[in-house]
Amino acid sequence: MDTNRFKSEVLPLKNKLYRFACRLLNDGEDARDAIQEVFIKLWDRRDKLDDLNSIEAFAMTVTKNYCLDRIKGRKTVSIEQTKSLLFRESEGVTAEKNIELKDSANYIDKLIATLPEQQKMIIQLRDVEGYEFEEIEKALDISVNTIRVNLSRARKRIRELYTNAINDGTEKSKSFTG
Amino acid sequence: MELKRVKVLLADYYEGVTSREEEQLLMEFFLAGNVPAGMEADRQLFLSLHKASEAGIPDKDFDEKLFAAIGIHDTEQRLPGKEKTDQHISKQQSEYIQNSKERPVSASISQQKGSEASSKSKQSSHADTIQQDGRPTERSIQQDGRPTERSTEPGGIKRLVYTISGIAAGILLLAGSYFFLVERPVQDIVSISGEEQYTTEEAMLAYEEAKNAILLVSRVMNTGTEQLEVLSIMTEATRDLEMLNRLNQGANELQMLSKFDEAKNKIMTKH
Repeated sequence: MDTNRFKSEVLPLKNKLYRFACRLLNDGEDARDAIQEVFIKLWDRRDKLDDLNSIEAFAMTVTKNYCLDRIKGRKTVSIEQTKSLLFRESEGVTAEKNIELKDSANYIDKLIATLPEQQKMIIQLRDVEGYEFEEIEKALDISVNTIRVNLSRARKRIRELYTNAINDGTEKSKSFTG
Repeated sequence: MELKRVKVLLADYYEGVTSREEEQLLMEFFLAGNVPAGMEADRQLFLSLHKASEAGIPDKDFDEKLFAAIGIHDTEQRLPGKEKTDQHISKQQSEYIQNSKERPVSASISQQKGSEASSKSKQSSHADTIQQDGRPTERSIQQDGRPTERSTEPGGIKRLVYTISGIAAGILLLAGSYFFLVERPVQDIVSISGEEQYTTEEAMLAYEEAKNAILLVSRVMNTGTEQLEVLSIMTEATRDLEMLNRLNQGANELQMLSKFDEAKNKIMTKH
């Protein structure tokens, strides 16, 4: 693969890979750095890219591996963040929650951030990027059955967390007014 | 789309059994507005997922930076590694010092600084001339192999200066590599201190995996148990079998007969 084909076939994946990395790393700057590293890796293997069935699936796999390694490296932070967010869910610290709820799209992103990595990746590829199950299977090396189960779990969990937060908020506001 | 259909599709969606087309229908429904109040959570979820699909790398110069990085990356493979370059620099320093015979230590310091932060730092013109002098010599070294030995002239003072500058360069190299390497142990320490967290994460991952597996089993099991409802008929039947208890009671009362048997045996033995 020469430079021109790399530019026309691999480089256009950058935003998709970036969104995927954002979902995993929960940080735009980290994600951008990750994608740069991923593209360098892809460039190094540009001779092998021609033999692949799907360059996109391969690029996703490289991104996944890179991000998971990265998370392992900094896991103290991410686990703490996840825990604190989960903790807040159960405790129901409403003042903060109500502020967060004002920007609900953002709030749902935060809920997704509390999911296990595998579920984050699956919901990102399916519900944001519109992958077929077979494509997810290729990119993440997870069986279609596991994908379905985890997708269902992830969707239900987010709905549950969101509904709980809303109910919690309204109950509190009732008790304030009453 | 009819509300009834939406509800069916949504139920399927949460079970993970909708097709891409069905999910797109749902997305269109939620983006169009007029969503009933009971579906607020679903609407927010779909809006968020839609919003997420529009994001992109914010940096407009990402491509340029990437190509620059790829370029550098490529040349790094062709050129010798960093340590080797450092050795070349120290050789080149001693050669330069030999030629100039002027302020050996400060010259080598500014050289070292210059080579480490070549383009961005504003160097003194002195360091600039060193660099300009230095670059060609480096090239000639690379081409010729080991030219330093050859250019050495035997002479008392020159020899002394050569030795001192050599030691100075060696110390600088050591100091440089110390500062270069000192950050790594720090990272190691951090990762060691985070070991407990590491195991927690591993445990959580393992827990999630196990949960997934069990969930899968439970799903299959649920469909299986439906067919087992026939067994409830069996339970009803066992109720009828309680009559057998009475038979049991009767059997207990028949134990009295055993005493009759004993008495018979005693009579038999007396005879």
